Amino acid sequence: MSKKYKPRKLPFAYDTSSLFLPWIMMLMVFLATLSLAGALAVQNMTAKWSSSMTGSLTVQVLPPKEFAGADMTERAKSATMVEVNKAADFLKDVDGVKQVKIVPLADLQELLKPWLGEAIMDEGFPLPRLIDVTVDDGDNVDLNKLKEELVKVAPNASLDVHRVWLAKLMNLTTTLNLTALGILGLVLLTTSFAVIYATVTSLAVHRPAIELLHLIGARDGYIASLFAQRTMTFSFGGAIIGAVISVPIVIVTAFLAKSLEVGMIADGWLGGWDWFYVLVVPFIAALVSGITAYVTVAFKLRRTL
Amino acid sequence: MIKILPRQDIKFVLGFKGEEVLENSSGMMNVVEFKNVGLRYGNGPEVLEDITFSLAPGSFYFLTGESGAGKSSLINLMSLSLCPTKGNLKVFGTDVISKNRKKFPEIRRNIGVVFQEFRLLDHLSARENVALPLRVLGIKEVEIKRHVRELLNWVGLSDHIDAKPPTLAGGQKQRVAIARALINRPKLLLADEPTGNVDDKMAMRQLRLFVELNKIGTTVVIATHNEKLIERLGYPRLHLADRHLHLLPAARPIMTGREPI
Repeated sequence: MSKKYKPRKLPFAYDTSSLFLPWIMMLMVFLATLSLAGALAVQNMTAKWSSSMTGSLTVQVLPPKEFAGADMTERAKSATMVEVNKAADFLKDVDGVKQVKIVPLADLQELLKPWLGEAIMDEGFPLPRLIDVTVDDGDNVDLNKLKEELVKVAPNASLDVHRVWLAKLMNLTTTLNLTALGILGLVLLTTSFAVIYATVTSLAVHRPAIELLHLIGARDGYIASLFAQRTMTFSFGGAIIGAVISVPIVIVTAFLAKSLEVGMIADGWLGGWDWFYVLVVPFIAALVSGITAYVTVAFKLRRTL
Repeated sequence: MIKILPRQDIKFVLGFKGEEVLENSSGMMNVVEFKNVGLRYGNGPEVLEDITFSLAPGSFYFLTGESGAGKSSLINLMSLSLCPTKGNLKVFGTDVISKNRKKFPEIRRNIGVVFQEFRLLDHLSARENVALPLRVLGIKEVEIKRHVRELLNWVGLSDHIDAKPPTLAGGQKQRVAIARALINRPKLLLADEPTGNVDDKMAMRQLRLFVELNKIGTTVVIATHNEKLIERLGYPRLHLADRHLHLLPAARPIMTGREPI
């Protein structure tokens, strides 16, 4: 009895030239997944910091100079508060300022307690007072002019513009982001070159079969699609293994970042869509390798009869 | 004794798009038209020189000549495996020049070729080898299965359907190659020594298949050294000698192919 017939659609025999493709693809998808996850995390953190800080300014009001270095007496406290109120009233009238909020002393003490200890809770501890200022759009407020006018109203007040340090931080994160995307690009490029090399070698190995297919009326597109199908199958196997290794690493890193409880890092880790992008990497890699194989074969066959 | 006849008279008329086409006496477009065709490999000497002939639809020819006379080269030209280095060659009205390569797949789908060295794919079974031309055409698997089985039965390979070429004898491989050439009912069948590896009985059986195909309109060209078969079937022959082609008449009245072997 003849065995059950299974149509074999690929007229190309197994050849060792394509053997390294799954291995290359595994490594490339592993690197690509980590690079992409890194790039997305940095991008998220940058976006979060940027949106939460570009619209805010902080005004610091020091105790008047005659009380400097001494414990905060009631007189010093009320003199400081006079300047705080003057500064706050002035800021409320500035165009573009949306909200002005004097940070309560208790909040300040709570903020500094982890670094300065219980001593901070002492009523006499000399602390500057802070005013949180929210502006509509930082670019519409002339900060230099605002600084000058603020000092006229409250001589011991100073304006802390987050944008300066934020800009430096953003430069760093943008560089990190571009580096991660650059690695991703290099990984894609290397993958494409590996696929081109494997395809060209495979074309040489299967030349008799290709000639035969041409002679029985196969178009270049048909032969190219057979190669693409074969390459995609090889690549997808390797890509899935690469993803299976790299995704748990991303998950563990995400978990560790969250457990840090440092807002700047934990808040900016991967969101729902980001996980989708990370998980789609092996499919994209297999698709890119298939398309590369198709284009390579179609290009090479142009010169044959 | 073989009498060498003058080359066939060819009437030139203007075809569509102003192309010069050859037309046979019945007014139908010739299947193959050679006009002063020459062929050389690389910078070597010409292996074919000044070849001029045409094949009318439904004609049957034997292609003869000594080994190395250029029979396979002539078949390769007709099957669009090679382009002539000189002269003009048309197959189904299309110039065989590399510029026209995009039109070749469509033309090749109407040509069945039995190669001297079979050109079977060793990792595919007999069934899969025979099915290849139908797969290229995008025929449904159910249809492919049916047609392939029928044809393999006919060539006597029903017991070797799933066998791979390396496990088949020379004659069996040849029959697989013939089945692959015939599977999509070509309008032009080119066979290079199709009976070289089989006994006379099987050779006659295979040639009968070609005769049957010819009766339903397929143009057939068979390259062979088998004088016995040529005389038995009695079709005219294209004879290659000294790089030139000569048309020789039928040796005797043409057989129907139904005579007892």
